[in-house]
Amino acid sequence: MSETDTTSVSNRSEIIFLYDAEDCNPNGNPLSANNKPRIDETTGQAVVTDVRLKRYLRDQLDDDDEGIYVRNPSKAPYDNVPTRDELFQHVTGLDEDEVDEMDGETVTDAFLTNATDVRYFGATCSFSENFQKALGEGFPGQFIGPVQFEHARSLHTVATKTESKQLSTVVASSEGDQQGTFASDNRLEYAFIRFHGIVNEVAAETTNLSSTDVERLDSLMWRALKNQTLTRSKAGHHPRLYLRVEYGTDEYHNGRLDDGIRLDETASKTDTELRNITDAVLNVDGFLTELANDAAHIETVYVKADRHIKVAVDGEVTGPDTLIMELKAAVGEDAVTEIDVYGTSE
Amino acid sequence: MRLLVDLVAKADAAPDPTYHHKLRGRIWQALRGTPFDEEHGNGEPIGFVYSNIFPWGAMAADDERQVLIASPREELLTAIAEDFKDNPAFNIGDRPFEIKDLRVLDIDVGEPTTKGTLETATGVVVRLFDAHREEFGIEDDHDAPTYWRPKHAIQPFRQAIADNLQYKHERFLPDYLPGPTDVEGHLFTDYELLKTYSLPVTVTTDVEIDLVLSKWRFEYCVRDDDHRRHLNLALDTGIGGRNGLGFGFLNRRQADAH
Repeated sequence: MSETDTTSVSNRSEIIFLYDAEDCNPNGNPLSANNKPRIDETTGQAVVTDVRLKRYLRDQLDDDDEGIYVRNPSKAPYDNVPTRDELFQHVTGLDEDEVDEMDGETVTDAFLTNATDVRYFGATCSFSENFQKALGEGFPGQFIGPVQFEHARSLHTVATKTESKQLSTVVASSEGDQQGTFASDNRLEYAFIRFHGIVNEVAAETTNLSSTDVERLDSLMWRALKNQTLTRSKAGHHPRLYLRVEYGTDEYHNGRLDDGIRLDETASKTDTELRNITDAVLNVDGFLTELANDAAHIETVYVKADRHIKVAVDGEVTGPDTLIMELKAAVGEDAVTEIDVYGTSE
Repeated sequence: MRLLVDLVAKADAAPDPTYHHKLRGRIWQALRGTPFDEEHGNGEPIGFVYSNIFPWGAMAADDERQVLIASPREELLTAIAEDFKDNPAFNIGDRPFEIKDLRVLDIDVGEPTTKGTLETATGVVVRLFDAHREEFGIEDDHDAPTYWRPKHAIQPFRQAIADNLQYKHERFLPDYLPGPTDVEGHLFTDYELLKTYSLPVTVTTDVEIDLVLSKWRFEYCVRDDDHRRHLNLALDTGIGGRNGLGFGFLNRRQADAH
């Protein structure tokens, strides 16, 4: 079970997270034949839902022995899909009798203390009639998550990989869900995905999201993309750039910072030629301008940049070191913190 | 990436220490008619390695056995899996099996700072080339290949497996990523030699050579993302030479699984 400090986070943050996906399926659409990658048919961009990203994060929290409420059936140590009553009891360690003896507020605190994912992303809590009765009226039916991401889109139109399109199902594995099987699949040649999210300090009060939780996000998102994409359809994902802009002004955020990061049309290969990170150059001019305009509201910019990214600033193609320098020029030297994901000062 | 093949023995049979080329033959049989068939015998590593059929030892009919096939090339494993599904007969010399199930395993040494142990499940073949002999002052006055032996000490072994893995890195991974000899630091923090032995091995039809093999236990501590990729590549391709005969197959110790 995880412990958390009870002080809710007080600053709003805006998160931009870019990762790329080579020869894989960034987000299959389960309603399509053969789990086809989600693509916006009008723009030709790949789409990745917030649910996909949250699944990576929940699975990483689970691997890190943080308690989570919405567990992944393929990772959890049970055979059948558990009921919500069971999920609640698993994460809190409380049985129905113990819950019955506690008042609603105490049960809520116990739940939020132990269910790390609910503090981030919220949850809908509908239980069996008996269990609901035991919980009492003080237990809310729904927690709104203070950390919300929009659906992500690729920075370019994508091409579906054709070689493996017709792979037939060759394995009927009894443990297929656990290990993955060879089955029909569809992949994208390449997709540079951009996520945008907000940490809302007002909603944080209702789920007890702490500043420790928010700091944890800075390494969690990077590590989740590294560790939770080892399966066959997801191998080929790499986190490339993470930025969390923490605001000092109450209830303020820019809201469009992500739009300022795009593929540089001149320096990048054309959309159909993109195959890996060496083909792509990020243009960050718009982002840096927005950041400079909002400098008075910004307390800290937390940044983690992969050393392989190329960045175009004022028409010049440079690397991540220049990006850090430009960030400091935009918001001030002391307002930029580089994230050490593994605590190894890589 | 690994393919775990569940087998059932179809007859009683004794263990067969000369299984290497017979098992290789079954895998190439699976690749017949696929684009990979054209790579057969072109002198370049195709990029697969396999375990022995385990548990080792005599078997009785209906006994269950397993074999692991690893590769960094997913399409190659897929082609093998397709054939195994369609043709479940798995006859390795005088040891007949039937394939019961196939599973894909995603093995990872872990993220930076993770410590662990890798063990060689089959012997490692390390050939010391002229550059190694010169660098480490190894004098060999005949023309036969020099295989690493304990008398050569650990340094040439360490260098030779890193050079070999660098070659595989250049072959199977994108150019912009640094390989094992492009970065500072050794692959492993500790190299524990368990034993050395020699084995007559059929390398091609009618050609049998005596290979000098060694078994090892390696300790590692993942330094960074590059190192993680190098160790995972070693799990996918095997270390040292003759991987196409199943030599150099690595396993992560179960106790380290997480």
